[in-house]
Amino acid sequence: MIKKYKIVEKKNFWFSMSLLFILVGLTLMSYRALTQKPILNFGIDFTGGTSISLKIEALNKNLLQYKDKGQTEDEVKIAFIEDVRNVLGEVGLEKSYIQITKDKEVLIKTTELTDDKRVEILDLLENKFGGLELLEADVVGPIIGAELKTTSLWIIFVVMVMLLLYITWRFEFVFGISALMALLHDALVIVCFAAIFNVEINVPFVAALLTVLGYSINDTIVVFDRIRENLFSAKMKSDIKNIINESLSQTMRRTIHTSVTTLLVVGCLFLFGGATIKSFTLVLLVGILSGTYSSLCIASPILAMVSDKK
Amino acid sequence: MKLSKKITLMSIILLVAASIVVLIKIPINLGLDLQGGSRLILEAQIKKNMNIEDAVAGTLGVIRSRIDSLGVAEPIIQRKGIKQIIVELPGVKEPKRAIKLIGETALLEFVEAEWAPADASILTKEKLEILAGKEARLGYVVSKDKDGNVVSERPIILKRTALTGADLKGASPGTDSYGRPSVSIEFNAQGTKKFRDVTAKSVGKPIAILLDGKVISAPNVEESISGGQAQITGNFTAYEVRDLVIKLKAGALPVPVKVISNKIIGPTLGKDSIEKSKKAGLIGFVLVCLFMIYFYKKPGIVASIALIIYMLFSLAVLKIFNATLTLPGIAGLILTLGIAVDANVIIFERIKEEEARGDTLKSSIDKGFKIAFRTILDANVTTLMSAIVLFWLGTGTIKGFAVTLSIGILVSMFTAIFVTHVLLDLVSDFKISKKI
Repeated sequence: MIKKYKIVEKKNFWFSMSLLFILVGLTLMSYRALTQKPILNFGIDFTGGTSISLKIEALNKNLLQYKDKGQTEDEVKIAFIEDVRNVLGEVGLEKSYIQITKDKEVLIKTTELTDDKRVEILDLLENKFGGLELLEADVVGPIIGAELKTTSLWIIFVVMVMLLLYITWRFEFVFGISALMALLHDALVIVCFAAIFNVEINVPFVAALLTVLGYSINDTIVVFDRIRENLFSAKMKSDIKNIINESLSQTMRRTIHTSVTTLLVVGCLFLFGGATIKSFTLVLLVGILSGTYSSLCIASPILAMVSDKK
Repeated sequence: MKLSKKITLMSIILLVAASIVVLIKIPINLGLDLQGGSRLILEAQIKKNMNIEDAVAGTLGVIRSRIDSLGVAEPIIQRKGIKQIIVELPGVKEPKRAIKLIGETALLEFVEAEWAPADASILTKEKLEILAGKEARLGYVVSKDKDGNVVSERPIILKRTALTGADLKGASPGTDSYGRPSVSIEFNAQGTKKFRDVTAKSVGKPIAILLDGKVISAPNVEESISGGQAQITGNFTAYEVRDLVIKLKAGALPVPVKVISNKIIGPTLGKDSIEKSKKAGLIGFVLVCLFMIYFYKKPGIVASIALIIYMLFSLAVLKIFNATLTLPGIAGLILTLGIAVDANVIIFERIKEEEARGDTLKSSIDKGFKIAFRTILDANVTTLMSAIVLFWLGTGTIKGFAVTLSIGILVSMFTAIFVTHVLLDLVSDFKISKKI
């Protein structure tokens, strides 16, 4: 028999949990704003930074000898990039972009460096690798232009309106509002997560955020679909709270199975996917949990509340 | 098994075979983060008394929209120093076309003109001034044969610039009355008026069309043109027309640019992390299949096969669409893999419910699919709609992500609804015939 869950009744508990987390994040962000610090850890994709291009003799030497050591050219480059990354890690810049060009120059893009810091990095690299030549160091602008900020607002607005229209057409207006509230919840949870745990905001982060919102709306609609169906077949007496609880219970196995399978893939990427994509997969993990949670504990109770008032 | 089911099964087998061929034959495009590409550094040629900020920002915008229309997925366009711009393009080992597309100013001019006497050498500067006013200068209309050899050069006196690319509303590729590639242009309201005035003034005389100071054609005006539309013909190839349209749409560069460096760069994420992610993804995939088989037994096996087919299809479609795979794109793929599993789970849970109500296996399967279809449709349409908006309004990475997401959603719906259904029918047929 299907276990009956009483999710709608516990709405105050769910709402306070979410609110608490979001409030912590928002408070932290406001505090940072008041103390003139960046509210989020914006990466160089957003802020721009310093671009350095170097010729390092050790790399040329390694690339001449790789065949003797039984390595491929790519392996030499990968190992070298790791070494450079470790050196940069000593001054907290391990998240820089490090690339090797075809003519064996090393390109490093980091957050904006003061002259002193640049000298420090070059000294560190010279200690580690020996002879090097600084070809160029220059300030670079953001990859994500300012106009993207206004386009993002447009995107959010248009997506919301379209979702609202579609859900109102296929379901009812209150379903649309509740689904959007769940989406808002997930977006806030992820941003607050990034604020609290100092996750770097870069292009992959934005993609992860969008992915999670896609997952969340998908998940919410499946639950709503069952509520719609049960509303149709229900007797007039049964109140909306019971119908929603019943629907959540009926779809609980599916909700959990889907969430677990998606988490399995993302979890594997998080554990075994290597250091460079760790924060990206972490955001996905948190977001998928939040998306599942919001369908059950945010969207559905809100739907019950709004429908009750009518 | 019904005939229609047999046909579906056959088509699926054919599609699987086709996908495998595509996967083997066409290499997948990887983005800058996964594969590296070309790195160009451009320098804006700022003149004295120019607002550098405005000029460089404007140049950046024009270059960005030109590259976006080139269809290179996920470029990086970044300001460097004071007047330099970095353009990184994934996988482009021969960036010649890109350099030409980015680097040309694309200043389009419509100039009032007059044919010069065949022996133009007698026209000194002073004579020109007296003849046609202070701004007058001499140009040549060059016509070439098919192989690009110069056939003739006809001198023309260029007088006053009447319109520029700034007066355009749109441009599109077309063909002239001889079937040669040409560019159709449409003027904005102001441009329409200017063009009507200048054509009225120039009846019987030529109007020269200049691109970056070079005369590309000089048609004779027969009557005043008030429709706001015109066609530019020249010695264009179809490729040149396509690129010219891109440039005209994006507008002229506010200042000329010079390519000062052109290098091939390695990936930012590193091949090791790509290998690691591949392995991790594979482990995840196997775990998902084990999970499905543990909870749903035979249907779980069906779902696993359907998922493998889903991966084949979506990668093949990505390749066919020439999409570029980047880390964000991989996120989109994971999401759609989740959605594909979800569709199967929804269907199986429904079938179980129908069976619990006492239906036969066969009719439970049919009913389950019917009801689950509506759920899957609504859930996926909402996600697809968001993806379409992202594609429509987004740029660069966001656009690429939207493409992967849309393809994944459509393919996942297809595999859940057709592939899983046919396979389940096969399994249940097998079961029933064994019972008999």
